[in-house]
Amino acid sequence: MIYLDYASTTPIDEEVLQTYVRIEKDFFANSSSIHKLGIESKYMLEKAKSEIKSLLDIPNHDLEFTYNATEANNMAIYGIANKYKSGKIITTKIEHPSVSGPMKDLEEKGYNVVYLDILPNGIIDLEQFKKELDKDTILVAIIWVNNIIGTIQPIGEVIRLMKDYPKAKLLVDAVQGLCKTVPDFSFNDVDMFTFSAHKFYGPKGVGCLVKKNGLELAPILRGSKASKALKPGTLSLAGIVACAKAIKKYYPLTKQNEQKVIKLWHYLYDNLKNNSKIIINTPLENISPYIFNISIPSMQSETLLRLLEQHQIYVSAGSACSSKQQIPEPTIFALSKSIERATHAIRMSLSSKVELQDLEKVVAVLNTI
Amino acid sequence: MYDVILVRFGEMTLKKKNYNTFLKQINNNIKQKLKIFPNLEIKDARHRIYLFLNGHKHEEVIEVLNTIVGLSSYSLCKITSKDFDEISQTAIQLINYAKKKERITFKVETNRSDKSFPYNSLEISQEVAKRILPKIPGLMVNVHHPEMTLFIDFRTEGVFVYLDSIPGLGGFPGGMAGSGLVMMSGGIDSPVSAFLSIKKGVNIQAIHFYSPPHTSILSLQKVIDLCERLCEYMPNGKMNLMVVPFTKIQEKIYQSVDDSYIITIMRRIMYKIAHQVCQKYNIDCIINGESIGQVASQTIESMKVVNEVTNIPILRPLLTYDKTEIIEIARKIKTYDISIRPFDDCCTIFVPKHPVIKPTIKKAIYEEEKCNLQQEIEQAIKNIEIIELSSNNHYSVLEIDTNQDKFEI
Repeated sequence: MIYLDYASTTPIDEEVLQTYVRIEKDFFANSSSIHKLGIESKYMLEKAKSEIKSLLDIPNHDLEFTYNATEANNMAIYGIANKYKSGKIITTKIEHPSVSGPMKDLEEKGYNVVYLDILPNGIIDLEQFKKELDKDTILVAIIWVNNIIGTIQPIGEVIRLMKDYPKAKLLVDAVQGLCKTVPDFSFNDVDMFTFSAHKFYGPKGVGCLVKKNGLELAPILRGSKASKALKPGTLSLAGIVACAKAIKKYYPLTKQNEQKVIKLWHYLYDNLKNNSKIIINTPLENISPYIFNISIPSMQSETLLRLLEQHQIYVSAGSACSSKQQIPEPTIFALSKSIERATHAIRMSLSSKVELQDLEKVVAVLNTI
Repeated sequence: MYDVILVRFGEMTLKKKNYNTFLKQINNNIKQKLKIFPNLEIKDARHRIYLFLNGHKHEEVIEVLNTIVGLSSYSLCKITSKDFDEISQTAIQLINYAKKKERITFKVETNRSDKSFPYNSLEISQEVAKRILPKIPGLMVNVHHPEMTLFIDFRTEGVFVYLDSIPGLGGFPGGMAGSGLVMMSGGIDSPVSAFLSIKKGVNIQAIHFYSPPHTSILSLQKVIDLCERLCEYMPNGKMNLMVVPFTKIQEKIYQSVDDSYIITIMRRIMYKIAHQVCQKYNIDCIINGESIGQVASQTIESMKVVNEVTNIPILRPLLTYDKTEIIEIARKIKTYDISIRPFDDCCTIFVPKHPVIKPTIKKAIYEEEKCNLQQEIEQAIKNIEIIELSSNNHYSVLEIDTNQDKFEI
């Protein structure tokens, strides 16, 4: 089996799984209970949070755990939008559906939502951003590493430009970036960012909204009055601690693993670039090497996916979240303006756990099409 | 980015006669607290101190300075050689970093303590301004009401360049103004009243009335955590918390006293105990978080009835503060989040439906005599538990051993 769908999800790390099982057993009490067992669970929760904060060097942020990054992105977007009731929101044409979905909804509800174009290199148009950013802007939502083509957006520059507009809050979808790419900005300067543990060998069911202390969001969920949390309800302590374990193990390896994956990416590129049937959608610069996206105009995305599946090669058509829909993949369309490329794209997503000989087989299959 | 933090003293510079004592005290406090930065060099000058960072992060040092009472403000400086081009280069860097909007007015102010330099202050300012202005778009000179001031301090050891200043905590150096016993309930107000007292140089200890099982161990832990937080502002980072076993007294009051007077009597007994504690440990005053009219027990009439049991001065730093002002300070000193933990304390558990708003001394004495608490008060004082708290060691009464392996991630 050759698994090349790591951007959809990763297999859980053995040690992380052990942590999960141990915590689920040893700390079964509700972290909101005020008896001794509850206090132990609460302590464990706080410890996990503080270890994540110190690893990411974000002493002035709060962590709000959710079920997944989709929930975290929704909480952030509606949290700001519902607080202001109206206003301008700037986002991009290449967001993950967990951001573009709420944006579409807010647009229908009367918010002024601006979708930034992307340039041929896959990067947002910063000139357009400068023009659009104004005093009415309440939210700017930009994906750090795009999940379809892997382009890295200039978050550092965005932060700098936003300095003059303190009302506008920045939400960065860091799902495909955390533990994979070394940021060119400090997480400390980001108002809100989201991540999901299962993208870096953590358990499924643990997302997180990280937000600056003191940044108030309107909650979209209501629950226990005693809990002032944005997301009330019993937390998955095992999931959260396992998430901390995964960050502890993989965040320090970010650079090292990325170097390894860069080699894999170049192998794919070097061996597919001369195939006239294949269009490589991923740009050559400002990208995460974890994602390699191609279109084969003679073959629909799903057909190609099935064909590779016969060789036990598992890839993704567009992103997994929209693979059941027969609509053009929005990011590829925004990049290429070509419906054909956008309905014929597949994404191979890599990991430091992928071996070069696996990719040799993949290249061989693709080159015989 | 910065080389030096320039630290200025506050209100204490007004106190001419005591100035030297203050200076000695504050230097001690600063040296104590900054010990955690091994490479930091401290240089005294009259009215100010220079901290040479030598690689330490200025944010981290400022965080510690923000806990030292008596410092009025800081400036983040860069050191350059006595060369106009280098000074201007550095100034441009600082201004670009600090500039938050397109157009901004500024002026240059020079102080030349190194008289060997061949230009006078005015000439230096002009030379530097001349070099900066064309390099920063939107920068304009306004010598009367500038939005930003660039300071150039010509000293023998080098030129210090800095912009404006960051306010410090202010107040008098810790431990200068006698001692106080803070009545610490666990609410939002008492820690703020403690902080304001520390800020004025009062050396404080805390007293807490504990009524298990009516109040949980978590409420005691909350008070401990509050005191530990306040230890940060104490010159030596330490504070004693006296925990008074109050259960029996509270139960007896509850059984014997007319409902509407329960709170009044309870508070009178607390002050009687605080009074004796002050005498026993030589403490000069009692401090509490009362604010006029906030609750029934905090009317002026109530204060009068409660005051009657002691002749030790009672300081009420929050007397005229609004709740919102108190909360603002509580947030600043990071006690707010601890205070709002949802556990009952001694004041909330036995609250009657209709406490008296205008009690009288006569009726209070009558109600108090019904309980006959002399023996219980003596016992309570005898059994006070003194917990020594400090800002760098966490004290826990929660009976969970957090050193166990199972807490390792």
